[in-house]
Amino acid sequence: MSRLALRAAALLAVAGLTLAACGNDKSAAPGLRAVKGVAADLFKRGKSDAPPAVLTRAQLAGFNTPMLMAEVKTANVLLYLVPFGQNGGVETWATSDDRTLSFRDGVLVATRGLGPDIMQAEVPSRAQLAAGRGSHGRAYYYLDGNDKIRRQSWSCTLSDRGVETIAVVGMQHTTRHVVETCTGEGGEMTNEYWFEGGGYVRKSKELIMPEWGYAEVSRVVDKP
Amino acid sequence: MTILAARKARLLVATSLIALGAHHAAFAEMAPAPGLNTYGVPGLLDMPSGEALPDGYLTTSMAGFGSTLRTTLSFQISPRLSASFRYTGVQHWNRTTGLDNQFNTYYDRSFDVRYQILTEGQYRPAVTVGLQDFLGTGLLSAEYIAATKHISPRLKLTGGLGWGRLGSHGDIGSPLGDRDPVDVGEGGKVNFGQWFRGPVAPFAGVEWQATDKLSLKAEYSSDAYELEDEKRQTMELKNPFSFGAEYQVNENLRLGGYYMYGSEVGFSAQFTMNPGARPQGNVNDTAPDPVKARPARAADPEAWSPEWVTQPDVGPVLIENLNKRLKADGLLVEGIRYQGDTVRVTVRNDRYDAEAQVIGRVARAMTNVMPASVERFEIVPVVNGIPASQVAVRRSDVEQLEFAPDAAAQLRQRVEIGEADPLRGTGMVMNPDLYPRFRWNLGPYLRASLFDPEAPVRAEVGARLTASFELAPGQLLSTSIAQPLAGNLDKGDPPSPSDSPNPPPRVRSNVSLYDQEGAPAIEHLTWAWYAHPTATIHTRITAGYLERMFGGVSAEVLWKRSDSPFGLGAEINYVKQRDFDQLFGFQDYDTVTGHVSGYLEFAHGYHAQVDVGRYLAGDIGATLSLNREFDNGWKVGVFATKTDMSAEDFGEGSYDKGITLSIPFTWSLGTPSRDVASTTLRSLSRDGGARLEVEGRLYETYRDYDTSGLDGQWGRFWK
Repeated sequence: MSRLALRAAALLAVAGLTLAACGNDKSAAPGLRAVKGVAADLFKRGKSDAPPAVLTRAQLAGFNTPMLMAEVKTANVLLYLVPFGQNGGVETWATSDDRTLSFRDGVLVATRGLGPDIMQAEVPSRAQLAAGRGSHGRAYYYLDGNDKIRRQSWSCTLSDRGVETIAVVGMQHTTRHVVETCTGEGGEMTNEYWFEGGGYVRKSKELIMPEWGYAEVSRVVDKP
Repeated sequence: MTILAARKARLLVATSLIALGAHHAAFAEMAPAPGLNTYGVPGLLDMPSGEALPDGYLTTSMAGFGSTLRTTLSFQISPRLSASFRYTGVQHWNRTTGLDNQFNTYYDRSFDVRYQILTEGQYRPAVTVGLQDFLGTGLLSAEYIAATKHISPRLKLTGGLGWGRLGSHGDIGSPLGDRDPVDVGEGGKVNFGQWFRGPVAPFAGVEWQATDKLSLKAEYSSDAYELEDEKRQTMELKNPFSFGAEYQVNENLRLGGYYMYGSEVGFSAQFTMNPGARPQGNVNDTAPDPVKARPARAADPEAWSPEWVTQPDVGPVLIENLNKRLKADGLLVEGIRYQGDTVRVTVRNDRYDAEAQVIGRVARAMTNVMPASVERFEIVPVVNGIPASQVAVRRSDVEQLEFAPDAAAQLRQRVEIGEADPLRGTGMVMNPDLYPRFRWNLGPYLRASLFDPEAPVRAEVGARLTASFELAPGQLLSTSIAQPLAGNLDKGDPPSPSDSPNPPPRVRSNVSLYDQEGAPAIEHLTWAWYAHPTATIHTRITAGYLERMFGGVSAEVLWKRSDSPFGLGAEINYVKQRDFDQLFGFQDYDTVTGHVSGYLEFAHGYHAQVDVGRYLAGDIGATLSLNREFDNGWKVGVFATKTDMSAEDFGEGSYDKGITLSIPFTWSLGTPSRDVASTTLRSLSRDGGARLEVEGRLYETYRDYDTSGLDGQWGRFWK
């Protein structure tokens, strides 16, 4: 950390007047913004070891809006999301700082604002998944570093792991655990679903991008 | 729950707790690249190999042994063709003359080209033909043909034949005739008469990939280092064998250590970049507003009523509602026109490098704001207040395709991209808050001069004030004032007296005087008027202090169809030379300069530009520029200008030429930005073939938004 901080400080020193810059034209002085960006990155990297704080059940009780908690452990990301929009069968949930997850009937089909986003996806239906057996195809559409769309496809099989009691922020839920094992050009990946009361997705762990990680999504506040 | 309630609820939740790691290697897409030799091209230690870098790769290498240091920039122009620019420094160059001191480092620049005539097959080696230092003063001049074959995945052999410098040790005769003597002269000439002539000598080597990171190299060299070993005595060559080890630290960095020619210790640092892939992978950006689907007509007939168009003041209200949603995206709606089921908006983009993302964000905002009876969105990006192009999107397509597999390609088939009509007299309701518009910024700057023959790097930092005042769409007053604070840019030598009997006017070679005296300097202070008289024609008139060295009037016209790879432009300027202090005064020299320019994208990502006309010193000629452009905005190019000024009048280099690099900030930082870091590596600032540097030339200003520019990053529509 101290070495990173030193590097950042050196960068700031090179820019000289970093903090003195002012004006209403944010597109000006690109070099300065670059230096600031790199410095911010370095500091952020230093801090990223600390796990983000989690809301308690008591804190959640104050909300009367449905809410999702989504965690990407590999990237140290924790999001709280509320319903934001609906188009056809797809519901989009958003954080207060404009990051969104979109689900078709409870199954993740798109993300925005994370960086490595799922642009679109071909996914099985919730009913298919809840059946806990059978096989199906799956595909994700991503943007690459030259802004081209790349399709990554998987072939998946389902297995039912039986009844499991899980805790979601201090509350116990009796669920049926279904595991979706997939193989493809990207290697292997495993999505998991915990269905409650027939087919309600209480919790899931779904791939965002193989190189980045999985989102663990829990429904922490239900519709009042 | 309504959207509004959701927005409110979102605000109740504390800002999402997020600690994004600075790097995620998603789609970093670096292919394994061969190691480089001390000349910075694929090879062994000093000898080249038959290999090529992956297409589009850009490498920078620094390699030194003994008193020689070579810095080389290499670019793989196409899968088989590559080019290199090299800056060589040799210390103790005057050792034998008794004038040896710290100032006698010899600096030289050189260019190479390589072409891979055969790629490696099961039995066939990779074969490359190369021309080394084919333009410069010829000190490093050599030609070679080199073949490389993997014997096993970890072991590869290289053998080749060299001419020129690479035929100077152990030659086997001169099969293709004698070699012309080196004509040092002013340099810059293509040495056709030498290519593959004179003694030819074999070279060979082996590279063993000991582990995934470590490789060991050995070679037999065909370079006798005659000049360095004997005449200049800057190194001692004991035998033709060299050995080394290289370590791949990560995908971007490779380090090497060598024992060269039985006498010298050497090193190299090799930096590899793939412009076609961002180091951070994806662009990190906030989410857009999702598409809002309209209610079914039967369910809510009132929402579908077209009556709204008759309401007074509906235009400004719609503009305001759109801008509320687009503000966070750095976008600004300037005007609106509605007619039947069509709404056209003009939009200013201050944020996105990907123009398609602008269209996508505006289209989604429009689904949230426009009355249900509006079906056709015509989105017109404007630059300097002037339309650049027009993208027509059907609202029902946006609604249906938002989450469809491969939504970008599917939508693209249903979108029309074309030229925008000139706006004047077309019933636009303008954003009442927009003009006049004053913007300013005070911040630091860095200016550098690289690879000067006297000093590798000169730089200066200081403070710069920029301000612009937009009086009306297309009318812009702007200025930039710089105050240098520290650096050695002003330590450049004053221009040396020309040895030509008719020296050309000093239109650029006085640069060191401008560097020394401009404190503060008015870098420009101009009034510009951009217009769009017909759908395919843009015009510009700029008057005032146009650049650091010249002021006057500049007029330009550009013809370009949105769907055509060809553009045609013309520019005429009357300018007077400014005082060295870069305040308000002028010197005596004035001239008329101007060009006719043709622009062509001759293959996807490959651009050519030809400018024919009269340059600042009154010389007449043409400039040819070739660029490889990546869809993410990276550009790598070369240019050369030949005019009727003689090589003797021009001075070292014979004519103006150089390399241009443009790196979008989005690529480096992974966050959206329209900023680009550009640099030109060129011969000295000479007076021949010099062009006026006026801001806001039309082709580069508007073409990002034409069909090719939008399609290159169309995937970002839904980002």
